[in-house]
Amino acid sequence: MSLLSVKGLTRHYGPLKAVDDISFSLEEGTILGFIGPNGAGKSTTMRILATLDVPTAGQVLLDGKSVVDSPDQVRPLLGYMPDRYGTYDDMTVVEFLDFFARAYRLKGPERKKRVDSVMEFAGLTPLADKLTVALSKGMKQRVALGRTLLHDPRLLILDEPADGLDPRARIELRELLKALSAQGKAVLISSHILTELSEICDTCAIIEQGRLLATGPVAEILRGTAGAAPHHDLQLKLFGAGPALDEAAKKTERLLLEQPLVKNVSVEGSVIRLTIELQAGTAPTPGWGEEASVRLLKVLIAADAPVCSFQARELDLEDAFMTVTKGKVQ
Amino acid sequence: MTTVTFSERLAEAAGPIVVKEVRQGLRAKVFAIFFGLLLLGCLVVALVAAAEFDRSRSVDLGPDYFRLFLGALAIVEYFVIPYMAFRAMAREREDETWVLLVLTGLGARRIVRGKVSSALAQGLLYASACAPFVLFSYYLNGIDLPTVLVALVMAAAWSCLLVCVGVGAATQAHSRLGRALVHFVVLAVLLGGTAAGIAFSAFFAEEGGRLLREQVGFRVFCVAHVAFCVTTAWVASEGAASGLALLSENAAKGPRLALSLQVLLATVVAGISAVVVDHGDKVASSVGSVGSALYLCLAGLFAVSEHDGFPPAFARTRRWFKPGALRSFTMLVLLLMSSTAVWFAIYVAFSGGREAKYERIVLAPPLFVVLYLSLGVLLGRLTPLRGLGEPIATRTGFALAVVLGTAVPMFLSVMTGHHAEYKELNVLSPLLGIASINGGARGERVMILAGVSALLFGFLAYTTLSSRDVERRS
Repeated sequence: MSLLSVKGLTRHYGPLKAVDDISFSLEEGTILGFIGPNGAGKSTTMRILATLDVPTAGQVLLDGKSVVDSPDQVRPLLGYMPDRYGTYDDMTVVEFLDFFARAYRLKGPERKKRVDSVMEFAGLTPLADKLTVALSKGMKQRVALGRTLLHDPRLLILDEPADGLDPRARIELRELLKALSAQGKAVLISSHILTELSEICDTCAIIEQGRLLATGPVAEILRGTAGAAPHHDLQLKLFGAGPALDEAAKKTERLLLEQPLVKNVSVEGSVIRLTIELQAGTAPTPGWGEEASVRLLKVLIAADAPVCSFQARELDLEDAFMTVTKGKVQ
Repeated sequence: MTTVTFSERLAEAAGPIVVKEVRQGLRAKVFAIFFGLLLLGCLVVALVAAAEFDRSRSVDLGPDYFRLFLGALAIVEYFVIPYMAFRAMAREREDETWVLLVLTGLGARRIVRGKVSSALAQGLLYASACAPFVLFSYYLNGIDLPTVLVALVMAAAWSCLLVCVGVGAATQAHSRLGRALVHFVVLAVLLGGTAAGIAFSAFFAEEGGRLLREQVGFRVFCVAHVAFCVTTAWVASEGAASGLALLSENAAKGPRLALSLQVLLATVVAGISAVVVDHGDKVASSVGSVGSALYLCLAGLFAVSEHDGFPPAFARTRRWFKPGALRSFTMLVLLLMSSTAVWFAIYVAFSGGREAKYERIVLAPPLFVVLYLSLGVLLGRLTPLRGLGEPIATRTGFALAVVLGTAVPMFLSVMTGHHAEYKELNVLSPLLGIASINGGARGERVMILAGVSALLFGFLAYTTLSSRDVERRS
């Protein structure tokens, strides 16, 4: 049985369908990335799962217990970290964690042991006596994560935890989440930074306008995004700057679109992404992609395109997200 | 073996919120500043009193200095502590840390209780610093110990009420604008409350001892004051817990239960007091009815500002405890009716002869309350105000109804060539209408019109709330 099971979850605010009939499940020890544009319904869904809101319809079971009918039984099983860290400025790190440990009814030596172990896990021990107001964003976020771990929950719900963090803090967060997953905890995480998610998530759910557009293991979603036909994704970079670069990019784009098998050409500054795709039903021969790439590169050089980099590219979550969603918000 | 210290055991017993709040409170600069100022002020006054007492031993200096000590303590107990409690809760809301607290399983009621308890604990610290000086005033002659004790108990009750009102107010606003508005209202209420508290302390220091000895009515008043403060503090803290409740929790049950029990208790105490005092005073029942109506108007404004309908999870909750403005409105009308009935019964039984004027004064205020609360409900639901959401829309609707109900008749009076206070047009004005209730035939007209309007708009409000209740539930 899944640790978290969401069936037909719906939440309406008057005529607005914030969440519309979504279903997914989450196993222990897995990380599910919850992806969607702003206003897609991610936070509403997470708040319902965290017992902070009630659904208009649908069922959410955490370890077989309903979050609507038995919120008191569900709360000890989950740790929720909202997009605001929620720390008290005039408390030190250890006082803050001790306070929440008391709130979770941990007593005496057990409480101290738990606070110490959480501080050690989150790398907060050297900051124990620092006021939370004096901490960096990344450290505050660690304190908030430490708070969610105090009662040893089985499910972690993290709403945009990487928002506003610098690259180092993001990498450290990634490592912490991987460690938590290895401990058997299920993690539901929403983020806009899709490259981060693709590296840590086992599964993902893409939501837009309150509706779940795709769900499942990341590799499966990427396969679905790529389509059924054999394809080869490429990325090339042009040399130059200013109007000359813009002119070269336009010329190269036109040239690429004229070539057979080339599809999905997108230009972003000096970077051009494209796909070489065989017609559906055509059996690919070994090395067909590389051969096609070589032919394409020759064409570009013959046309005097200022190409300074040309390489194969793996599809990532960002591609899946852009393909599946239409960028609509409510 | 680990030894558990006394302070640790105390902290475990007090609960996490109290520990946190006291820790934060004592660390704040405000505490150190006011604690120092209070001690210094009291010390200087005590030294002056000692010098004066040395010079004129025959003069009773006690009441004068008792008033000064109590005044100094009042500033801290009636303003500083309630305001700090308000800020602490408001910060919890602004930073959304209360959500994290609720998720720990503490529950809204325990959070509020923790905030109030820690504020009272800090109040006790201030009071203990001031206690030797207050006691010193007893040695300056002219004031007895029972008077000192009664004054302190009444002051403690007043402080408790103001703390709960502050904490309750902090949970009511959700938007930035709302929070700013509430901040101003709280400042005004606390300043008013402090001024009233200091004025009463001054009066009590002068006359309290004599009145306590000579007048049963004053003793009843003192008990009623403490009972009112404590029960209203309870209602306010239940309101605060309701303001913090999540959608998955029943926010309506606590405040409804507290308000109903308070009204029940008040009517029982009023009845018993009437029998004990047996004073035959028409004014007392009139004042009681007007006071009850005003209080229920204020408390009712928050009660009827609930959201309509309720989530399916509460389908099995008992009828009167199901959330929803419909049930709050009905409860409020019933409370008004029962409280008015008791005051009327007291009037009839103990006034020693009925007078139409006093009957109208007892019966009219609840009619005006029903009328204007109903208008608030209707304006909040049937006009574009409804876009603000039921709580704000109802409160804004009520304020609008009161302002328009006062201003429009005055404007029409002027437009038709009369004085602004022209009584024929100001019959249903919430200020001038009630004020003209004691005037013979005009009073009768006001009474009839207020009754018919209250019935009509009350019915309309009830049917509107009923249909929205059904609509929201489906």
